Amino acid sequence: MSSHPDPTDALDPAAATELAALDAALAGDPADPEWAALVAAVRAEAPAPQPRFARALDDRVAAGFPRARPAWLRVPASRLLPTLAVASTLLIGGVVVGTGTLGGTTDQAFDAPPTSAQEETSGSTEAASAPAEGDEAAPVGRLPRSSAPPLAAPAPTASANPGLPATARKVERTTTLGLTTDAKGLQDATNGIVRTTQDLGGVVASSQVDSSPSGGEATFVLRIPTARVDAALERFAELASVARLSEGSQDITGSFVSAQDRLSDARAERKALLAALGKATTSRSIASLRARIRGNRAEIARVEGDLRGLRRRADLTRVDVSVRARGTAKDPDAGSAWGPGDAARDALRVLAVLAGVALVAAAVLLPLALLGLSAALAARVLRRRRREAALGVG
Amino acid sequence: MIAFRRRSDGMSETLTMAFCPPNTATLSFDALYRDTVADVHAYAWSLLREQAAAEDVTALAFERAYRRRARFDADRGSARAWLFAIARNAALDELRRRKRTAALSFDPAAEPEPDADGPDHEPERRATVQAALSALEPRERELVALKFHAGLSYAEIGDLLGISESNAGTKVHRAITKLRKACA
Repeated sequence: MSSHPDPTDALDPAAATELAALDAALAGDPADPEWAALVAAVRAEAPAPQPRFARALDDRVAAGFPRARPAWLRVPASRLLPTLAVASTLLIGGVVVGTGTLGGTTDQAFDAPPTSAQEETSGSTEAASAPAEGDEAAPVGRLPRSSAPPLAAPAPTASANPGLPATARKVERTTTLGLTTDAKGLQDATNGIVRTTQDLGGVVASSQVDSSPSGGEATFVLRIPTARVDAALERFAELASVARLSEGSQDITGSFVSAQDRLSDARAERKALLAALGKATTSRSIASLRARIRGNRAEIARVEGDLRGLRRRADLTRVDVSVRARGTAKDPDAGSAWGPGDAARDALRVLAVLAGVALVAAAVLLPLALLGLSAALAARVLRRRRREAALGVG
Repeated sequence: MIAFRRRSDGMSETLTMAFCPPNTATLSFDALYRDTVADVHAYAWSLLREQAAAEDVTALAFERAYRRRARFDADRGSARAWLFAIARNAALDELRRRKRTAALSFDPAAEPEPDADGPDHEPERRATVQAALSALEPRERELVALKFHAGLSYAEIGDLLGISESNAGTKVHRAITKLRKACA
């Protein structure tokens, strides 16, 4: 309701005078009997409320216009409260579960188990059940591999299995293992890793151990026979808690076959060169053939080296092991008991998830709210017009 | 604190309504009810010309006002004008619902019984006024009701109808002039 002053519709003085007289009569001023009589007559037109209606309305006003509650509100509080409590619990539980899921993805990728085709190409597969570093580690002695893709069977190699055809698959595997232990267990763990590697026929390619009174960290690059990697991992898992396990594989069969072909070609060439040398008669041709034989010999040595390297890559799996002692500066809470700091982080994570949910909800609800607001405004205008139309027909 | 004038019984009386700081008014609903119930009923009857419908609209208007009393804003007008705006909407809704816009036309059968204790010339005078009112357009009759029963100022009538104060005065004056001529 808003007035819109319009200078063109100003009241003329005569009309203003009559309206003033009307207002005086309406206010009970008996100065002008004619106006007073008109006011009295018009007011007398409308009947007074019936006494019964007046009493009933008085009672309703005194009672504050009580109204029947909807059926769902008539449920006793003793029943409603447990229902609300269960619903709240489920909601909070859902948020917490969602939080855990979202938090895991930030620390570790949850890849689906790779297909064979994926394994043939370069690929890294992390154990889905292995917690990320900094999260709760698997108990000592257990590898978190229940849902992890099983390790591929040790790839047969020509050296290990001479009877296999030359086209047997050659797969290079890599494994990354993260362990956590307490400060006192770091030395035992590192010793155990070295001992286990040697016991299984592997070698320690490199190692680095940093220790301090508050903890420490050790990293190893190991070469372990592929057939014994699983056994090695099981024994490593007995040394400390497994915080992370990642496994990858790459098919190198193509490179291996190519090297074999080149070696065959080089050997065939050598055979031909030797035959030609036996038949050579001039000193010049003999010198030329000997030079080519030297080059051929170098080529054979180089290809044989490549083949040995490829066999080594297939036969020995590279295992990167890191052992982190609790309380180190890099990961102060890894493996420690759940405390106030964890609680604060969890609370922040829950709040972040709730904020995200609220943001998504707002993104959905805001356009709906705008549409609803527009519809409400349109309905209001329409309702007002219809009301006015009710007076327009007389 | 604000005050407004009561006129339902023809007497000038000042009622006091307590208000909190701006825009957070606490409406003294009981006082408003006691002061205006007869006027709201008369206004509703003037629009609907039916006792039962007028009572329904009166009750509905007060119930709506009660439920919305927290939304009342004294800065936007008097409590009386606010209440009659609610009553007007309720009455117009009732007209629409019943498809009885024709009810605004004059129906002598719905008129109240003459007051037996009145002066001898009162029945004749009432019949004249009834005829004069019936000659008015529905919107003019509503203006008469807003002025005579609701007791609203021209500014309040303008706000209610969405027109200017002077325009409201002009329309009211035009309706009253027709009424007076018909009564003459």
